[in-house]
Amino acid sequence: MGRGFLTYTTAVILQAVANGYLYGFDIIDITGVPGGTVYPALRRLEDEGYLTSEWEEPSIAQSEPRPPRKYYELTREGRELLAEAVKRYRLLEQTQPKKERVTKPSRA
Amino acid sequence: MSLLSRCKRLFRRPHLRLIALVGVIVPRRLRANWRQEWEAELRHREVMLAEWDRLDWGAKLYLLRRSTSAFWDALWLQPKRLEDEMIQDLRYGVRMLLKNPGFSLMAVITITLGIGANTTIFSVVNSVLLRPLQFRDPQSLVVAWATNRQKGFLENTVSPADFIEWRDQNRVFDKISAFAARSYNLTGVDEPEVLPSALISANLFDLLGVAPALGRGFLLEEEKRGDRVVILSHSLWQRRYSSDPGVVGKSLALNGVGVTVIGVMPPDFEFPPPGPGFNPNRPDLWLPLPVDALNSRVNYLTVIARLKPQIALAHAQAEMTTIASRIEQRHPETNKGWDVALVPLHQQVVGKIRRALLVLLGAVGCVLLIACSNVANLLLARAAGRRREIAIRAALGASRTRLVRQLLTESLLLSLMGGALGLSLAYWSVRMLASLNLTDVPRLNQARVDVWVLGLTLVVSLVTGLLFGLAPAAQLSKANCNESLKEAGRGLTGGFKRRYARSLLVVSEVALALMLLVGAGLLAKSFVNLMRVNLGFNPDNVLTLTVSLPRGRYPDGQQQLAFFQQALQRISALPGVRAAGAALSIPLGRNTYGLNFSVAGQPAMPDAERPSATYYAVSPKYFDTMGIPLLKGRGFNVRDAQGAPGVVIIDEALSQRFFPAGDAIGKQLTILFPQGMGEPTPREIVGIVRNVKHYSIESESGPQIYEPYLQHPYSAMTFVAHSSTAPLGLASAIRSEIRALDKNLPIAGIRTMEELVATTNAPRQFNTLLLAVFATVALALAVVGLYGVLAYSVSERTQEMGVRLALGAQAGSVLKLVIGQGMKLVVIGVVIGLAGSFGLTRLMAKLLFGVGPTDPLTFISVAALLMLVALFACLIPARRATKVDPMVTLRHE
Repeated sequence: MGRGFLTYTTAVILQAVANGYLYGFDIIDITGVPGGTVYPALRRLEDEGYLTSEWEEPSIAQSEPRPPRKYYELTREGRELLAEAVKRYRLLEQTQPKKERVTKPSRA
Repeated sequence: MSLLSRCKRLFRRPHLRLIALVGVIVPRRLRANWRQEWEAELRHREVMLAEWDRLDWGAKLYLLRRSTSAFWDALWLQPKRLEDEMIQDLRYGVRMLLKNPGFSLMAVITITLGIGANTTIFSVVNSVLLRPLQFRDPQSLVVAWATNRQKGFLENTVSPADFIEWRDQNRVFDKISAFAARSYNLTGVDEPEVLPSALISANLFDLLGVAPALGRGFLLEEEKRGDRVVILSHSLWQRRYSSDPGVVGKSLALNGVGVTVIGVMPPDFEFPPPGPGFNPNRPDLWLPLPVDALNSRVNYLTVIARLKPQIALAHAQAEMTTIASRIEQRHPETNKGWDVALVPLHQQVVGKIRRALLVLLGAVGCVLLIACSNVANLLLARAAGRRREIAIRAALGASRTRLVRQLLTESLLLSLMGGALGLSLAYWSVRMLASLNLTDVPRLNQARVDVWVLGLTLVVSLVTGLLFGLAPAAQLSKANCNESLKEAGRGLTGGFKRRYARSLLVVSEVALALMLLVGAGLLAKSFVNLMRVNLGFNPDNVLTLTVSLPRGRYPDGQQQLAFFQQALQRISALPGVRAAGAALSIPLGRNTYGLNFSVAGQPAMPDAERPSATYYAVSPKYFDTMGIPLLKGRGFNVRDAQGAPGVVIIDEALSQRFFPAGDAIGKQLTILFPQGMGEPTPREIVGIVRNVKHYSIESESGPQIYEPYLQHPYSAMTFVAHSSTAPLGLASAIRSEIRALDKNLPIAGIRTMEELVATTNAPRQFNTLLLAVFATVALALAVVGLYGVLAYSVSERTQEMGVRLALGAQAGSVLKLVIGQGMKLVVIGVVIGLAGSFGLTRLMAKLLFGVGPTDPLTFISVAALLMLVALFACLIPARRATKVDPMVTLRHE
């Protein structure tokens, strides 16, 4: 599949995931993109293989108590896509974190 | 838990409720994960907000708003359905059906026939039986007939005198009205025309709950005064007056007399409704019926009434019977033996055709069953071939439900395709049936494929799909995966159970087809019997047409007579006319004059007990023209004119009943004309003719009396002309001869006697034809089913046959083996079918004529026919079995 759907919004969402905002609601909060856009985008990115999703550790969920949350991570293709997006949308660079990325979920 | 706390619980976390609700539209496969993801996020937020102690109303509202995004998320997931198992099944099913085009085509055609036949008949039943009449609250409308069991008049018209008593004395009817059919000549226009009309009580439209579309209805005063006002039918208004709304208030000439138009009826107004007992001509003119003025005892009114609310039919009937017996006591001379019969209007309309339609409905049900079992058979046969495929799928992890669902999807696909095609088939056949114009099947012309029929077809298609898909599906899913894989294409005969199931299907198909054939055979035999009935006259090449003279220009009998004599002379002189005559009424025509008579020398009796006969006034040549044979004495001649001694001719029925000694000729007979129609003077019997079928071919006609019209002229006569060629070709020549005499005379009822005979046969023809078609379809389907089973079994047993032949079996014995296998099923089916027919045909006893419901000849010949056809169906696969090359099969071994 081509990358025709790589809109700015998609790129922003990818960037958010890359920056360590792994949960749907966190992505909504940090990007300001409405949930009705974020979730379909996440699903599409996952279908295309740019994202993978995992359920968080049941022990964390049990302590609250609630069902485990789902978090998303960039795949290799996802990182390549993001790199391409950064080239296309210069503005994104400014949101690149300077420090080491958080890759494992923790309580936000 | 109290209700309040329940409510609180329900609304405490509305965001979670919303997720649960939206989750319903998420494809089922994804639903659990989807809900968990959303719930986890929301509850995580909830916990955090609670920890920060900020879980207030605003926060809750924020959570609710956030959860609404889930709806968009769910919407975006809809395309995922395409990857659902159901869609996969469907795609796979289509592929499988396309891979086997022969099988699919056969199955779809079979279902198309089954569903098409059912949909057609259901459309007819829906229109004829089920659709309510187009009047307000039609179930409380009843027809009130005068009835006299002793004389055999079950549904007779009513005299104005009786109607007035019924109207004034009853307490059970909300309203009661009378109407009578008439025809008027529309004159004073370029093209004069006879218009069917009805005289009606002023309150009839009110009673029916129908108002004129234009203008107004009749007023009670207009009825009482006998005002010259008229209401037009919508079709006449369109045809003659180009839908001009200004026609109201204008005047038109009827029979040369001016009347004022006061209204136009709406287009869908159909009264009297088509049906037995009512005049089939839809009136074009409505005029007030002057009941009070005509305080007469002649029965010519049809009475319709609306029951008061909460009055049961039985109660009303009891009251009317009481009233009738009161009238009987006061006027024994006219009303002895006369009662009232109330018939619900709907029953009056559909009562006679009901049974025939129900038989047809049963027949198409059988056709559908046969179609279903045929397709089930096809699917079973194919399922056997697919055992390996199914086994592989099962071995690769397909669950049993998944396999069954896959198979059901395929059968539903087939049935829905068949349903769609069947619907179009039904659409065309319903249009064809409706256009047949069978006036005796009421409301058939309005039969349409409507929403109800569509819905029913859909349901029937789905149910049939499930029905014939279930058997093979259940069998397959049970199949042992190891066994099937091991067999690996080796064509062993299917398990005993499967063969048993398929044989059972063939047996039931044969049995059902036989029952239909027996039914069709009985009806066909009735029809043949009917065609063989001696009508008493010869309808071949006879043309009829009616002329009625306006009293304005032909005021007395002499002028009327002169006109008809001249016309008859001119018509007789036309080339191609063998004989021509005229009569007041003709057999199987619409008019009937039933008059009382007395025979000289027999004891006098009160009016009510006097015998009655069908009365005809005819020209001398009438008997020759109609081919009515003279049995004794002489016919009429020109000397039987006014001034000469009065004479009559009677029919054999009257002669046998009143002159059993055979000495009727020369005796005196008095026709008791009602007032104004003629003088009751004794007349001499000069001849005896054959009894003619007057009402219908099936019913007895009763005694008949003929009078020479030269002695008793009438203003309206029907000409009959016997031609040497096709009679309708004469119509224009006769018309111009009549125009030459009087160009202002309209001519009505141009028909051949053959047409009249065909019309009376129409309902029977309708039944017989349809049932014959269905039976043929059933036979064809059953035979195809039988052939399919045998052909498949032979192909399964190719190796066995090869071995047999290799071991020295003769072709003949292999032939016998296969035919024996098939015919065994057929014989069992025939036996069951005969037993079933024996029980079922008595339901159609009323539809038969001249043949018993268990007519042995029909049963035997139909069974023989079916076995013969079945034998041919067996022969083809049997011959194929003998052609098996032993070498090929042995090499395979």
